Amino acid sequence: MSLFNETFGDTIRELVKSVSDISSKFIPYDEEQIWKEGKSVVLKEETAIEIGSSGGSSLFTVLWSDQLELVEKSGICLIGPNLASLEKKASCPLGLIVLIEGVFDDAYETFRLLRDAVYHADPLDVAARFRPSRLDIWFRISHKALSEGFDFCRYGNLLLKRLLGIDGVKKALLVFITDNAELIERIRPHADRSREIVEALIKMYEEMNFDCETCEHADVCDEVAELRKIRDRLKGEN
Amino acid sequence: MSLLNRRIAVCGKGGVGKTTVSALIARAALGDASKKTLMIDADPGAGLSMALGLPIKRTVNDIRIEVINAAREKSSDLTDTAASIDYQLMDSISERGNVALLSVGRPEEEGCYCQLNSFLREAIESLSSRFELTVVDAEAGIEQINRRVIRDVSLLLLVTDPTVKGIRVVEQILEASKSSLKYERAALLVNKANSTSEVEKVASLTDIPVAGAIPSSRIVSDFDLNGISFFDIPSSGFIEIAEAILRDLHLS
Repeated sequence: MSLFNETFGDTIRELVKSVSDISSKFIPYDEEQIWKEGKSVVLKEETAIEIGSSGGSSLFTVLWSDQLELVEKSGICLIGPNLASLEKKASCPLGLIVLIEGVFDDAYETFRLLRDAVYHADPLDVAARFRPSRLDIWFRISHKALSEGFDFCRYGNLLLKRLLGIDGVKKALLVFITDNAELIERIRPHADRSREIVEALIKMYEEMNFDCETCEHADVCDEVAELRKIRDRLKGEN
Repeated sequence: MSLLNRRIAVCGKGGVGKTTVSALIARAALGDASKKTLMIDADPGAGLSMALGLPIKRTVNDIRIEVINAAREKSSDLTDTAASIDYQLMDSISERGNVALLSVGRPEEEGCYCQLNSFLREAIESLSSRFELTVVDAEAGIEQINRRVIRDVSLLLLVTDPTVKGIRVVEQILEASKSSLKYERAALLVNKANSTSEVEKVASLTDIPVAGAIPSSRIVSDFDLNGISFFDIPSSGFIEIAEAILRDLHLS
């Protein structure tokens, strides 16, 4: 059983339902097409495309499941136009949903590793920023990166390489949603739910406070069996 | 000399022209796309923002307060907090061409959050490491820079006017820096110098090597008076002198 099995399934179902009438494309993981990494900053004057927040609507979430049949194979699902065909070059909505299937012993360690793999990927000549508390993601893509072929497939391959290198990860699917605020808003409740679960998880591990009477996350634990198991295990250790 | 990741802290007594010198460096850097420059206004008075005509969207201290308030409302661990700070710093800079401005804002007002201050400083250092040149327009106290902005610089640029008081203050700053800031070298810039003899007099009163002198300028005071950006000061003898000194210091 995994923390996000329910949210994971709900998100997949919402996406499948939505993409039936929206243009979407699946691109299998290709380790020959990985965007290079390097420290850079992208200022406005060199920006070709600014997508996601700040200014636009955005959504970013990482979910994992131990049910190994939901994702067929590792790759990138692009819902909406890729960067080169985006008509709007600024304030364009962006969603990135990272769906991981695997077998993990420690939920918190898994959470840390998966998140680090995404946050610490540093695509060259691109500024990628994340604000987890608001589920925000924000990209500035330079003219240089765009002219050299940067797109969400090559960025996705960079993330997939990092994610598939983590122990226990069997498959990973990255869903990019571009220029579709409506779909992003349909997914948002599931992402909000996952954030609530993550906040409860963080509180347990960081504060080691198991007084459920005073905890603001008690209702989340009541509904997610895996959180209760983690709580009981941690209580036993302390 | 490579300009990659060069960091300069501009320090000196209040009123000697630290902000003018910082703004002149920004002006010299503008237009050179290969030299992305981060200007950090570490003076609570935010004079550099005015001198450059770049608005302050949000200060580092505003971010700090937001992070504290967010932590009170929601559970967040260090990795999430660090990612959020990176996001907010990038969202807080004002830009003109290849020059970006980050304002530090007023010192912390509520409580001591040492870990958060370290986080913010590391995030500023990380942002700075992505620019070829970083210039910190510092308030007089060097300890504040170390604690709140940056721990090491390539050049400690000490600015004085031709007064004994100005010289003594930069000597005190240099002394304090030895224990509170890592720097590769220190240099003295004499601002508002009206004659060669004034510069010679300053040099005779201190052991700090004099890197150059910038004369008083009517142009600068006129632009200051009218609130016009240093970026828009037309080239003139004064600007050429200032830029020649900055070139000698490998800053332009």
